[in-house]
Amino acid sequence: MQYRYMHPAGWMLVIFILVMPGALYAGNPPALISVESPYGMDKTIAVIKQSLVSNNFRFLREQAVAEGVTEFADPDFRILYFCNFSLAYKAIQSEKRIGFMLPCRLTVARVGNKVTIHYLNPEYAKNMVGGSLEGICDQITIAFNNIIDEVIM
Amino acid sequence: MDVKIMFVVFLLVLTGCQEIKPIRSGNDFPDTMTHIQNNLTGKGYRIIRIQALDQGLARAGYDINRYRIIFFGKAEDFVHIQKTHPGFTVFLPLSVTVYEDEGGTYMQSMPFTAMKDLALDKKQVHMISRWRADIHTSINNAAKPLY
Repeated sequence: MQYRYMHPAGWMLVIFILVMPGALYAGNPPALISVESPYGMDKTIAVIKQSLVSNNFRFLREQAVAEGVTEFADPDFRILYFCNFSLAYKAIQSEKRIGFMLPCRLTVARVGNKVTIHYLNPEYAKNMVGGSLEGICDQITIAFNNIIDEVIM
Repeated sequence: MDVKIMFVVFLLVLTGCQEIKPIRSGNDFPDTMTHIQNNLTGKGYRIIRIQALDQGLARAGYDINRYRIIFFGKAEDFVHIQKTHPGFTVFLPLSVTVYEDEGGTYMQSMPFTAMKDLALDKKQVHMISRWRADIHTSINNAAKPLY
């Protein structure tokens, strides 16, 4: 069998292939954000709803996480759906694959006496679908931060 | 290795990195919606809600092509996630997005690789693998032309 030296461009491509996945995922922001609320379940949800309006979101609906799949959905796990129509429109126009993030939502969970707000990090979603959502995800991140601040402050 | 072969490998790696990849349906929008729901219920999932984002946006003065999100799930999965990993409930209910773009109908699932990275135990990893397999099979079936 004859051994052939590989072209330098070939080596560069091999190195790029080996390094690229790590480079793509390195420094990714956390996917999930969880923040403990100082309030009980009902007060936490009430404060979030108030804060949504002041951050230009329209509250859409509240439901138990398992509502619709079982008759006995645990009321200690609630989802709040909300939307800023202008941002949603821009997001879909920029990137159709953003559907898994829509509509915007926060999950409020009570385990024992602890109430925690969970959500998918918009920064993480931006990295997942591409840079075309840069400005939009930044705005959503700021809004989410404001909402959480209003709950915990 | 030939440079051309390596370039193909590079493209495959690049494609693999694109976790969220829409699948073009061979059917029109209404048939795709019906077919994907039938496939999901056939695999034991209950359809919870269909969010018509296009209609909601239209009411607010923003016109887009048809864009629907189908929410669904299985009760036992919800119970397990709520008990073991409350933060993971942000991915529930599961969803498939069906939308029109440039004359075609597309279906797109969720970021399962990211979800797997967040799993806390083997049962969750298996659960996510099952979701991925079921949903991808359902999407591929629904994409097959009916006529």
